[in-house]
Amino acid sequence: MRKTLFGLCLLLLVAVIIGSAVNAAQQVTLTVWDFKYADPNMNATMVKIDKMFMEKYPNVKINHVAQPNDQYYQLLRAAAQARRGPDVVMLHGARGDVYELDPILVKLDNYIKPWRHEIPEDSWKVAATNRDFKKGIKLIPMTSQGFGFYYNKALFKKAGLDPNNPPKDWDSFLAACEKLKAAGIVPITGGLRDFTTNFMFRALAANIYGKEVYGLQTGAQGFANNKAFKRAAEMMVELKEKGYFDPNAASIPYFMDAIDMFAAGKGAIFCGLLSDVANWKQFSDALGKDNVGYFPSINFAEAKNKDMQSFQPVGIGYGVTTWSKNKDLAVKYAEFYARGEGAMVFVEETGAFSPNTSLDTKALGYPVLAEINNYLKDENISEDYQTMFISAFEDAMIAVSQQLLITGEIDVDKFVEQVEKIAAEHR
Amino acid sequence: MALKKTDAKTQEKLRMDLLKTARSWQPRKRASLQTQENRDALLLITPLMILTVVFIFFPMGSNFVYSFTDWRGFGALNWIGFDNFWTMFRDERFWQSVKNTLILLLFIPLGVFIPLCLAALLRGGLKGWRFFRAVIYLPQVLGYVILGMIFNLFLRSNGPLNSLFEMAGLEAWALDWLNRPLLALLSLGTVYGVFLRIGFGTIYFLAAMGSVDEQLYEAARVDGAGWWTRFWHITLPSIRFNIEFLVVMSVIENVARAFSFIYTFSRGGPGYSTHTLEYSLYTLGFTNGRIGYASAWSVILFFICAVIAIMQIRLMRWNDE
Repeated sequence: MRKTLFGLCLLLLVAVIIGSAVNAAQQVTLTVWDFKYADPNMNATMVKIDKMFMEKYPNVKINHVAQPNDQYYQLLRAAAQARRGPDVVMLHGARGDVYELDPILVKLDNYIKPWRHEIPEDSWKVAATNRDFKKGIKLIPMTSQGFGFYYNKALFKKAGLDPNNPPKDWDSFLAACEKLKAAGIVPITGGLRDFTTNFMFRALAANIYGKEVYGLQTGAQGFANNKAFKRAAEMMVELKEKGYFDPNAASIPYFMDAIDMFAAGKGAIFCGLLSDVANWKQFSDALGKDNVGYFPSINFAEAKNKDMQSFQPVGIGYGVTTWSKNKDLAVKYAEFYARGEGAMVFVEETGAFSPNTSLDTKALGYPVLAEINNYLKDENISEDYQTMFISAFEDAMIAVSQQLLITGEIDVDKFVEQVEKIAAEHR
Repeated sequence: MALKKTDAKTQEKLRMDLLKTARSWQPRKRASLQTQENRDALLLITPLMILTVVFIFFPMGSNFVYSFTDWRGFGALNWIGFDNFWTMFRDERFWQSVKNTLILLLFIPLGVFIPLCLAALLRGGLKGWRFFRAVIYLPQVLGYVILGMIFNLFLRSNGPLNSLFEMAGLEAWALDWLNRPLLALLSLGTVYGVFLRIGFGTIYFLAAMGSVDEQLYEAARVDGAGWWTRFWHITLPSIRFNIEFLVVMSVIENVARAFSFIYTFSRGGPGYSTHTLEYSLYTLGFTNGRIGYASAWSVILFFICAVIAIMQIRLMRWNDE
């Protein structure tokens, strides 16, 4: 009897050991590198989505690594050189230097085939290396991005402006700023030392270049000899000189100080983003869903186009590395953030602007999101002009030109001349 | 007598033999001891040598190689000869960075003179000098990153400095310190080149002054020499080496160690007005991903630092002589 009992116990022990070993062998760890994971607005949601994914795939453990934003691509290049590191990597869309990472990214065309129709082809095109489908799709888009003007309807009302009639042309924009200023309201909140002017130029560029924006990539379009671009620079200087920007704007960083100030109702107009941060959700949640209005650009005589939306078909997305030992699962993970329940949570909780057309964002009940969607018709979209250059163009624009233009160190002629020069260096 | 002579001869021979033997084996013993010492020294120094080779010499060598390529941080190295150097010499940003670096060097005399005066004052028996010494040294305790942040906040157009000026009725002095190119560079020079040198400089000079023979001061006092005469004719010549050393150190701090401060203080802006060679090569290499091109910049920075190091060695030798 004792022998039988001992034998049974031994058998059970062996079974447990074998079971554990098999389970351990089946357990897969996916390492994800991310420059958004440390963002307080994103982290809790991403933790939640990871948990949902792990529940769906119990044999998968997600090792989500928050990498520093500033050094992200540098770290990624180091991993690429060593050919080891993460299975899944977050990337920006439509950036020349991201396309350079093509050799380390898995071609995803076959993986996305069953659900490719959920995301517009424009976005897939940007997700393909150098926008060339022949080179393969290397990124699953999580967001689209864009730039436009949000305004605080309550402050508009207080200044005697019609909150349902946004100042979309230059004259009415100036008049609105004047009225707001007269009412003791800061007309434009922003961080002038860095991104506010940069984003305003991007919003205005949609009207300046429209569908011809791709000419900037080839040199067919330019800056120095473009009257509308020069006029946009003059408009920016005029806004500064007339005191329509926050008087402390020169000392305020855009991320997150200026954003928080607009969300706190300390200014009437703000040039914000469509996705990630400074977006429709953040401002609606802070100021009230019915209290936020939107218009994509300022219409002015010199610009050929009107009401164009500066747009990036892919803001951020996930790619899968060639050295990953679990490519199929890594692709599933990237897919989880781009479609279905994972994507919906991502949009709902962070205000991400998903390119996935199958998601019912109307159900979220944000009127400003519906307004934005109204502008996002094919004929209204102009791709963000800065994505026609490598990413360093943005830094150079801010450093060389905008800071000097806004502080009055250089005049408009010198500014456009410098932008032309920077463009030539960054194509 | 003969026996005695023989004995003396024998003894002398014996002594010579002994001496010969001793001479013949003593160096061998010393050599063996020296070999053992050498072995131990080599053993102790090996880890450091490995680290130096891996983390100093290898990257330095690699950097020289990269400077002749268009490498972007990964992938194959494409040899492009001197292209990076020609591009660099035609790059406005390079010359602006060189100019900014040289302008920062102009603040060094002030950054040495003020600590010198403060040390002399403290040494002269200023009441509560221990407290002042601690206060003066306090900023040195914080790192450059934190100090850069603090001064960035302090000098903003809506920052405490301008608020103080406005409260004192000096509105005209409330300038946009960080957003005007020339002002930003001068602010950087004043804060980094002067203010941040005061703490260490004062303590360093104070220590140096402590080693000056007190009798010299007594004799000078007896001769009726005043404070200034004693400072000029006794203190300064006695600590000349220390002054030269601090000047050299300040040059190195400005040329090759200002990055972390600039990064948080002004981010190199507005425009490129506070870009130094060191700061620019970081942005080119790690922000723009142009590792090859940034390496060419760092080759130039390497030679500048090498010249400074040679000057430093020469100065020290000259002082010894």
